[in-house]
Formats: sequence, structure tokens, C-alpha cells
Amino acid sequence: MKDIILLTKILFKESINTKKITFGKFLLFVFIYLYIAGLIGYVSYEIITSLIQINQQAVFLGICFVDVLVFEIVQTIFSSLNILFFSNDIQYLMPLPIKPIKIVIAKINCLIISQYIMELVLILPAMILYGYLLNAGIVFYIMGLLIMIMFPVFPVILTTIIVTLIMKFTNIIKNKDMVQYLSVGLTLIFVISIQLLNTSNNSITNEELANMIVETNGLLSVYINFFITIKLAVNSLVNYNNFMGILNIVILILAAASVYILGALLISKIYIKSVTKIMSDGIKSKKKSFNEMTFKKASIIKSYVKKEFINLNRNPIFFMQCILPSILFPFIFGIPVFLSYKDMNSEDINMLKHLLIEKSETSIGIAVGLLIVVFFFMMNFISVTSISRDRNNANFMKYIPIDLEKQCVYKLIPGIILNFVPIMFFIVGFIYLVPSISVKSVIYFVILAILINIFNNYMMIIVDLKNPKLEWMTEYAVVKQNINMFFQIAIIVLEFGIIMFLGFKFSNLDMYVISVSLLYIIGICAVKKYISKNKNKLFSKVM
Amino acid sequence: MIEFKNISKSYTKNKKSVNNLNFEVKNGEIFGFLGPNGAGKTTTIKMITGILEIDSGDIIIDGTSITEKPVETKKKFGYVPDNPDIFLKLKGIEYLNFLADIYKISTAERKERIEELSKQFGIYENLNDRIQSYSHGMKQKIIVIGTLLHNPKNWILDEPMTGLDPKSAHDLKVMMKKHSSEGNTVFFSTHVLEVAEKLCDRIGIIDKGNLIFIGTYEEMKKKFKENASLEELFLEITE
Repeated sequence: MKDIILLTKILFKESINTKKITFGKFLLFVFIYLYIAGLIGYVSYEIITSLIQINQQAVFLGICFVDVLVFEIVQTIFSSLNILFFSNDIQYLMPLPIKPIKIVIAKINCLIISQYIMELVLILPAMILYGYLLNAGIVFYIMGLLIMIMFPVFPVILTTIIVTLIMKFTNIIKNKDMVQYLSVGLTLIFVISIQLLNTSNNSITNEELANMIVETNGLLSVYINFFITIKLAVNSLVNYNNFMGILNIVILILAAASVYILGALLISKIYIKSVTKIMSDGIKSKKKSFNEMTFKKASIIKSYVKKEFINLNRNPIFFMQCILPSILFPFIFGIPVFLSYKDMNSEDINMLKHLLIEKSETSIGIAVGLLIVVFFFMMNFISVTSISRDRNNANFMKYIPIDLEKQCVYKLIPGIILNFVPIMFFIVGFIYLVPSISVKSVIYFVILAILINIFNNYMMIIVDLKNPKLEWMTEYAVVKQNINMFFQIAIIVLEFGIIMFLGFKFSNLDMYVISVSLLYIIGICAVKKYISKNKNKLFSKVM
Repeated sequence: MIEFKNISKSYTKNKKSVNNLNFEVKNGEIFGFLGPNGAGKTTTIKMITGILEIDSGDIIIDGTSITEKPVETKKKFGYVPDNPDIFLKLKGIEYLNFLADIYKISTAERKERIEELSKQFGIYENLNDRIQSYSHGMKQKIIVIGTLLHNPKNWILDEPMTGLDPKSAHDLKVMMKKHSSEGNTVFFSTHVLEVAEKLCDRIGIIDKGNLIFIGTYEEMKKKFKENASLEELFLEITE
């Protein structure tokens, strides 16, 4: 037991940034946390109060747990692959006199702990608010805490078992990259299936819906049947003050403990054999004669950006974490919209079209469009990891004869290019829904989106330079265990406020576009000047 | 030529990692920079190459200052870092083309240089493989080739022999000699005293940030013990 705790501690510490956190940084994290928690709290408040009015408040818990479950499964697909199979620590742990099962349990613990951190951000504020709005007693909060501890065990263990089995039975196991791309494919299928399932759930008849609404928390059944643990968690909280609640929480705890123990045993049985196979990595390219190779001279910018893209594309973790979300999420979020649109009758479509045309000519309409696109920018982690991804040889930037400021620009180009995916997706989607949208609105939207795109990427490269994570054991740590992501989210959420505020302030569309453009042009110039003036200081941590 | 003008560097207050280094490495010279672990060798090399900022003093390479004109100065040297794990996802040929673009080497010239150097270092057949599949020695070789592509006047190497097989180490030594015989400067750090003894025109020994000896091997013998090996002398000086 002692070994497992020690190993978990070491592995977890290794996976996060272990640099000393100053008081100032601590305060900043608290501020960012409160900021995000406040936003989640605000959205939760709106949903809960609306649901209370129709006596369906418990539906909120169902929505929360379904979302967290999907999030945890998707996260674990990537993180279990990395922490169990592609982390460099395995070659140091294997020769140690530690039983393989202890290594497996410590690694599973790391996976579960990282989910706890995510829960602190996503669930805790919502849960507290729910309890407060329903005047719940202390037992509710104790149960809530127990559920938060038990809940991630199921998605983590079950997903890890599936991933470990895939790793065992895929005959391409030697090719680390291929296995990781395969996992992306599976994730894709999984996430899209969930979306389609949700969409099909919506096709409840009006009569059924009416019956559900009339019954207290009747709509809850739509959500809790999604997964057994959601039912147990929600029933515990809804019945926190009676025997049913206690019974449900006891079943949940017992089930979690059994799944944890049996899962760890099963995973360790399969794991060691698979991982020893993967420790030898041999990626050989197709043989080419010397004269078949390309030697063509290219401009520095082209060559540099190409190098950045190769690095992103050939590294499955970077590809999945930095590139894929920007491409994937617009589709995942967009598919249900288009499907619902297809199912609408012509009268509704005409009403919607009319509304969209009307709104697209207004400041608020453009502002909402920008919010959607900027929301997808938040999932692009290219610039915010552009320095950290190069690991401890990022100092290459400092001994080649290219100005550091220019290299910053080269490094942010891939991030800017990728952000064009959600921009284009939104515009094409909007034109598909409303073909008669004015050209002026489209041009305005594109100009503002491009300016925001450039500014954001500049900001993110500064964030990475200020706090680069250059020592890491696994690529996964660069993106998912990197505190800089909070800054990216915080900056973008702040921009949400500014974009909307100006939208309300300037009802005249031209004035709105001018004010937002000016703001961002000034922002870009200021950031450029800041980099130019402080480049040596900014790069001082890269050595 | 590399001139060190009273350079100092501290990572923490009251403790200088490099203290007032003041010497020069002339054209046509192979200069070996020796010292125990943590003596300040890598810190010095990182200051020459612009990776670390110099706290005080300056480093002049062929007449230009690394602090005042960094980009211009960086064109005048080629640097081989101590860690060869660089751009592992690129193929060998992609890495070399990338460097050739940075140093603006023409298509014809790069083709000729890559062919010549990759044959010389025995990785001609592996150029189309990703660097991640290379052995430690092969990674070291591809970096050395990349450094030599633009034929720099000054060659700076941090522990270049680490991981090289005997033939490649021999070839590298021959190249270093050839490079200096053409009037160029070679500055390298090493732990391998035998290499320094046989290869270097002059040796500098650094300990706790201070340059405690600079001169030829013969001068060192005269100054300390006449019949001692470099190893014995090194131990005596640094202990």
C-alpha cells in the first residue's frame, strides 16, 4: 500500500509542473478558478432556476453527470494511452523491484486524480449552487463529495480496459503513431455516436414530453438511463434525506470499489505484456534513393512553418490535442444543429431564417457569431504550446540566425491557420442555413474573426514564453497537464465579455465593427511591441 | 576568432557560475575546454551561442558581438549541442533541408554537401528515416552534419564525442583538424582528456566558474608536473 501511495505521488508530481508556485501565481490561479467557477455558476443558476419553475430541477443533475461522464471517457482514452503506454517513465519503472500491479494501480490513480481536478472546476461550483438553491442540508454536500470521489472510477477503469485491450490485440502495436491515430478514430466514432444518440433522444413525441413535464423530475429519465452510475449518483442526491439516497450511495461506493479492484487486476494482466512490446519503437520510412529526395531551397518562413506542421502532424498526441479539436468540435457541435434544422417544418424554417437574417445585420448578432467562433479558438492549443512542445531543445531558437521576434511570428502561423477551420465552418454553415445573408455582414464577421484570431495567438505565445513547460515525460503533459491552458481559457472568456459588452454598447453595426476592429488592432500592435521590446527577457526561460 | 571579454554569469545571487573569463581562441586553432561537472563549461558555451544572456562582459565572434548583433553573429558559427534529441519527428533529410533554408544555402550546394557529409559519417542510407529511429550516435552525426552545412568559420561543440562509435569519433577529429587547418576556429568542451591531449592546440581548464589554466599541453606540463599525464594534471589542478 505504501509503495502504491509513494509511486502515485511521484508519477503525479512528475506529470504536473513541479516548479515552485509563488504567492502571486497562487493568487492568480485562485482568481482564474473563481472566474471560471463564477461563469459555470452563472450558467448553472440560469438552468436550475428555469427548471425549478417547471418542477424538473433534478434534470440539471442528470445533464451535469452525462456531460462529465462523456468528458471523462474522452479524456481517459487519450490520457490512459499516454500514461500507461507512451510515457517514458515505464522504462525506468520496469527494472525496479515493484510488482507490475502496483505500477498499474499507481498509474490508474494518476488518471483518477486528474479527473478530480477537472471535477473541481466543472462540477463543484454547479453542485454547491444546486444545493444552495434547493436549500439542501449538509447530508447533500457530503453525498455530493462522495459521488465526486467515486464517479470517475467507472469511466477511467472501463475506458482503460478497452484501451489496454485495443493495445493488446492490434497487430500494429509496434507502430506507436498508428495506435494513437487508431485511438483518435475510436474516439471520433464514440463522440459522434453519443451526439447522434442525444439527437435521437430528442425525438420524443409531444405527448410523451407533456407527460414527463407534468410528473416531478419526469424528464430526468432521459438522462439517467444513459449510464448506470448516473442513475445511482442522481438518485443519491435527489433522495439525500431519505433511505433511498443512502441505499443508492452505498451501492455506488461498493460498485466503484469492485470496479476499481477488478479493473486494476484485469488491466495489469494485459498491460505488462503489451507495454514491453511497445518499448522498442521502430518507425522506418520508405526507402528512397538519394536522388529521389528533395533538396529544393525554400524561404525561411515556409520552411519554418512546414517544420512546425510536421512536428504537430507526426506526433499523434500533439495532433490529437492541438489540431484535432479545432477541426472536430465545429462538426460535433454543428451536426445536431443541421440535423434539427432538417427535421423542422417549412413554417419553422422560414421563421428561423427570418430571425437569423434580422440578427445577422445587428451588432448583437455579429457578437454572438464571434462568441461561437472564439469558443472554438479556445480548443486550439497550438500557440499556447508552441515553445513547450519543443521540449528542452527549444533553445534551438536561440542559436540559429533568425530574430526571435520573427520566430514568434512563424510559430503562431499554424495556430492562426487552424483557427480558419471554425471561421469557415461557421460562415459556410450560416450561408447554408440562410443563403440570403448580406455580403456586408459576412465581410464584417470575417474581418473581426481574423483580428481576434491573430491577437489570441500572439497572446498565447506570450503565455507559453512566460511559463514554458520544457521538461516533460510524455507529450500528453504538454497539453493536458499544463497550467497555461487556464490562461488561454481565462483570456478568451474575458474576450467573450468584451465582445458582448461592445455589442450592447454600439447598436449601430458599423460602429460596433469599427470599435472591435480598433480595439484588436491596438491590441495586436501592443503585443507585437511588447515582444519586440522584451524578447530577450521573454526567452530567458528557454535555455 | 572568438574573444571572451571579462564575461560573468550568475544563476543565483552571490554565486558566479562563470567568473570574469578573459581569453581568445584564435583562427586556425582547436581549443579544448575542460573542467569537472558543473564547472561552467556548458554555461560558457551557451553564452557564446546566445542561448544565455551574459551578465557582464561580451563575446566577440569574428569582430561582431553576440550581445549587440546576435543574428549577424549567429551566422558565423555552427553549434553542436550536448543533447542530440532534436526534431525527432523530422526525417534526417528534412532536418538538413530546414537548416539549409535557415542558412540560405542554394539547392545545388546543399545537395553536394549533404551527399558528401552523410557518406563521410555513414548515414547516407538513413537520410529518409525519421530522426527518432536513429541511435544516439546517428543523432549526434546528423546534428554535426547540419552544423557543417553552411561551412561556418567557427565551430562550437559541446561534448561532441559522446555516443559516437570509434570510427565516427575518429572522423570527427579528422574533420576538426581539417577545419582548423583551413584557418577556422574549433572550440569544444569535453570530458575525454585523451581527446583534448591529442587534438587540441590549446586547452582551457575551468573550475567553479574560474579559468584556472590556459595554454598548450606542454605549457601545462612545464607549469605543473613534467612527466604527468593530462589526467593527472587535470586532477591536480581541479582538486
